[in-house]
Amino acid sequence: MADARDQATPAFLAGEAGFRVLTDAMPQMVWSTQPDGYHDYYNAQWYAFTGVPEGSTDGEEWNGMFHPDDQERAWARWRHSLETGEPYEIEYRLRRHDGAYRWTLGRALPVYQDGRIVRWIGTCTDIHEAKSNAEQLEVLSRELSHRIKNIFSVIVGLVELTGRAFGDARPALRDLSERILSLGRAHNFARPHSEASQPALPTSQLHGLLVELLTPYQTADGGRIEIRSEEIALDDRGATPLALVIHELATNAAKYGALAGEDGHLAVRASLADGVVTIDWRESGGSPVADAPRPEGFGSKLIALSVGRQLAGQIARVWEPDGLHVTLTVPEASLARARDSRVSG
Amino acid sequence: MRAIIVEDEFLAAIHAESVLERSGVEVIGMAEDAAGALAYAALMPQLALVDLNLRDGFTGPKIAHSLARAGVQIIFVTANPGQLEGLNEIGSPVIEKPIDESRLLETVAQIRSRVEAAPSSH
Repeated sequence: MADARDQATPAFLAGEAGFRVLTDAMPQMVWSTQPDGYHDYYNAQWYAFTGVPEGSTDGEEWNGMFHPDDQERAWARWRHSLETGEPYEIEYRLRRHDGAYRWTLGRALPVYQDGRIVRWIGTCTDIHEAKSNAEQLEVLSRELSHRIKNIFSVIVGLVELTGRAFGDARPALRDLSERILSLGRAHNFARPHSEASQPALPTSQLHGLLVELLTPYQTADGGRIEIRSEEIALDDRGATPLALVIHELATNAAKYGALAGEDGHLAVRASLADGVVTIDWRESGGSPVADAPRPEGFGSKLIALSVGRQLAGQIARVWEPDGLHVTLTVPEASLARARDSRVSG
Repeated sequence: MRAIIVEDEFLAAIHAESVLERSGVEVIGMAEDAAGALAYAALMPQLALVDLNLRDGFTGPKIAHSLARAGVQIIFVTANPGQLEGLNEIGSPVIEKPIDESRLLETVAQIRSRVEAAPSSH
């Protein structure tokens, strides 16, 4: 397969003149510095983009081409690379010839000779379009998610209004409202967040959803409900059915179990082993538990459907003398999409 | 305690009304815009639930400010609390939509104890 053409650098690319032909032909801005970071070379693309006179950005003058808000950050990153020899990579706004600041990806690598850095060679790539598109998409997805939150309000209002017209159905409709709101919480938990709206707990973890759903039942001193969870990934796939299940368990506990009185206690533990997530729900000290389990209500059926159909898991309920003990087992894959199929970034 | 609800989505307002009434707050009116909301100030409500985006635009913060000057306690209710950044000069509590009943009741209770501890001139 070897071809004579691969054997050596073509003559016209050898030497300094060749280097200039090569870099000037590249669609990117290319620059190079001495080992101490002193800029002494920019290709034609740099001058075409910035419109500055040749040689005017040598030395440290390059920093002045950056947006004032980005200059210090770029300096710090560049100094760090010079001190450590680590690759330089940063996004900043670079002033174009027309005065517009364009988002740019700057990268540089050191060139070694005999174990010492003899040069840095860097590039600047205009990523303004891609970055703007990504930002717009993010704004759009957050806007949609706010609208979904609004829709939950509207749906619950509709259910409330129906309850006013049909008095007999009111208790069932109240329960329905509460179930819809638990789905709303699951949505809020798993939705795309801006940095500002990011909840205190990571939204990619089961622990955060448990806290979110059980907080309304917690006492001020935090002693009534104890939640412990290993690191278990959770996204919108698992959040919705799981929110329904936890909601049913909690409302039942509030009606008949450990969360009905002042003295009860609930311990929830979540663990992961061999691809199976186990959620252990243990109530104690609540209202006395009757020997026979309570009759299967609609809530229990909803739990069974959510666990069996949606989560492909299993649930076991044991009425122990001190209170209800629930063991929920769910395949890890039912709670979150596999990492490799996730959209990166 | 008497309250008004400033919300342009009528069913969302119904939800808020149901929650308030369950906690013993009397809802004396609902408004969809600034004109409607400010007209209720004459009825001297003690509490107003105020959404940010209303029929006449992003007027919630301004309405809240006017009502607060008239002695009304404000709770912002919004799906997007980020929009309030820098605009909540009076430091009113913010509740996210859909309304979490226990959170709203807790907030109303705090306001109620504050109002009763320091009765206003009216």
